[in-house]
Amino acid sequence: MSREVRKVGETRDFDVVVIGGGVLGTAVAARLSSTNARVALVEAEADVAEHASKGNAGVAVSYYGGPGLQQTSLINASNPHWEEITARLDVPFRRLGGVMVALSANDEEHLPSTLEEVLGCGVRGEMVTATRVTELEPLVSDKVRSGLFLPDEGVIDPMRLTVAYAVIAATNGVQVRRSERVMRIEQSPGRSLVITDKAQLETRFVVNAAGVRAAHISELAGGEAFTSHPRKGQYVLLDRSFGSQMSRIVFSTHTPTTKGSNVVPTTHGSVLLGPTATDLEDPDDRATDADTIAWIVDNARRLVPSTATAHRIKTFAANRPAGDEAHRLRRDRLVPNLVHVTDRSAGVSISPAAAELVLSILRDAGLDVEENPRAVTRLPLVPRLRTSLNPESLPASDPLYGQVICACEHVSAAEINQALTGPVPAISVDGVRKRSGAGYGRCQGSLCMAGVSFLTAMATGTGPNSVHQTARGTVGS
Amino acid sequence: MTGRVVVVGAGPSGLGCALELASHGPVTLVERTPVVGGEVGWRDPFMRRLGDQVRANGVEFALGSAALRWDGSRLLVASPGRIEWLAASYLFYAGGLRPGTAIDLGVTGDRPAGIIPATVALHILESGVPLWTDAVLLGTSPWADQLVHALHELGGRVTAISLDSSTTRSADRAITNAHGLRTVGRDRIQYLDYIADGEPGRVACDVVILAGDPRPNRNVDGAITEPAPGVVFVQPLDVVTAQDRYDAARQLSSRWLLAQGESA
Repeated sequence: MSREVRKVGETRDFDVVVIGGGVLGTAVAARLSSTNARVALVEAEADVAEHASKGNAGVAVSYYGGPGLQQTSLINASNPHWEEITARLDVPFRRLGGVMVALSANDEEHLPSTLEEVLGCGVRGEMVTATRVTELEPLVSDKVRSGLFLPDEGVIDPMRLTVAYAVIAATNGVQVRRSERVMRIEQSPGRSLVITDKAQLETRFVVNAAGVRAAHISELAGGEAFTSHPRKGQYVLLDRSFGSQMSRIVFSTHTPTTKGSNVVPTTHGSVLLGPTATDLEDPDDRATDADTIAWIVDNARRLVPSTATAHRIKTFAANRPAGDEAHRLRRDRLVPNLVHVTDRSAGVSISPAAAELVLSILRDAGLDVEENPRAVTRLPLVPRLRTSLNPESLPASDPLYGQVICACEHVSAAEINQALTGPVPAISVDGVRKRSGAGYGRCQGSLCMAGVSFLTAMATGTGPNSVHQTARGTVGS
Repeated sequence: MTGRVVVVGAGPSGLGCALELASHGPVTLVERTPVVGGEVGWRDPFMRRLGDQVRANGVEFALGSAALRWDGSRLLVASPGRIEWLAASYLFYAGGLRPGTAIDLGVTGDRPAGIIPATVALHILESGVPLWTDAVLLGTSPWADQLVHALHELGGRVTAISLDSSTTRSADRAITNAHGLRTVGRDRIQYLDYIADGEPGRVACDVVILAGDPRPNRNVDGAITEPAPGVVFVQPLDVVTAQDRYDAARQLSSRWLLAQGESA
């Protein structure tokens, strides 16, 4: 078969079509892009890194499920490599370690079983005294009775990671097709025709990384019926002025029914409180509500009392895919050329190893591809004004580093223009935020949104009315 | 006064500080935008006169320069093509005020496009672009009246919703003492839900403008929270007119100079 992309009317020919531009879909596309496979990535939204890949706590976990799970082996295979991967992809990462705190006798009863699970997973963890907990994180409540220290937990920027995977993929020739919704999938022996609202994509394999819509994609492909539903998580973001005082992730004690809501310093210096878990039917329901937000704040105050005095920047919600299997990474049992890649909560944490596993599953299923030694695996480092150790030198590379657009987060026009260019550019104000951090801060765009809209309108050929604020909606009506 | 003072912000407060401090030592005035005037605006005759007066008193101007970091003895300043540290003994931070955000107003619900900070809405509307026809304006901060005016100029209707008994009189409709504000809309904003007089209400709209009570801008690392070493914050929340803000800043600077003299 020809390795050239063949055009037959609207039909294009691929080895693999990956459906879903979240962290798992882009990771798979990035991995496949360093082989000579012909790959398309199809994302229904106008940008990659939407939904759960945008709305999560940004924890690269060392431990999540129990011993023996595929998810656990993927976490274990990914976790030691984050320093190397994130340096290569220019993604913020900090291995802070996390401490699970017991505030009551009841909490304390649950810690040993969690430790047993942690050790059973082959992950480092140790029981620590209350004194040691407060040494590890001085802001933890003085009601702490004991804790479980997990030194290998990290925090990562999940949006930058997802975009970086997509950029790697696109750089190596993957067709990244955003704003394209899969309508039907027609099966013939050994082949699929993925019919979108824009084109017909003929392919040997389909990778279903559609997150909360994975069951729908499986149904379209004639695959297994799986029950799956969105699980909403709500979050509260706290200001950097507070985040700079925290040095560890603080976890609620896990109980048999819930992993609880946590206090997580972000790579940006802010702190995230959350998530909660509410099962839904509508994947588009991403509303926050006052009662849940109040609960998150109260819960965080129990763990870290000074969160109560921190400036709250914003609330948000996102839906993760829950259902009969919290983790599904395997070939479909009915359709041999369909591979499912979904994970309820640990998508970021398993993504490097999951991508590797998907490639080997595809090879086992007959994908005959070789590594491409010329493939790009490293992205150029974009200096950031806010964190630069030598900011005086930045204008020499681009004078626009001196033009600060986002006052709170010190994001320059140089960084914003960088977000608006490249193979997977931002096409909205929110897309610029995901890539550059502009608008993350305490004023929530009061000072910078006009400037960011202007630059976005310039780059996307739109105007002040028609420029996109989010992936789905415009500033003007 | 020992050494240079750097003043951040060239609105009425910053100009008041700069003028007062300039009589006692070297002063640099750092301003993010390329003009003097701050929120009052560069066209304002009073602000222009103040700017001239401050300049005549030997204050060094760094316009179009964003202040980024303060380490207690120097300020990192960025302007197009140039990023540098300015040595200074003290930082007077007069960065002005911004409107309260969704979380300040207690807004929950969806986060679609079309929820816009008051300052941004004003900026775009004042350039003459008609963006919206049915606006909901949340809060009664000083931006609210200007926004109603700008929206009316471009043919829009405005429902003003406040959390207390204050109103924006110029609006087409006013709802007071509201709470439980919720934004509704998937792709773009469609409704603003609220509770007032114990009854739930809903307003159809194509934009929700956030004009919550003013908050101080804080965006220089090292001068975010009070107190900060070597930093004097000059951002009064309850002083409204340009003249009063200028006077208040001069008085504050004068008292500070006096206290410096006493401690020396």
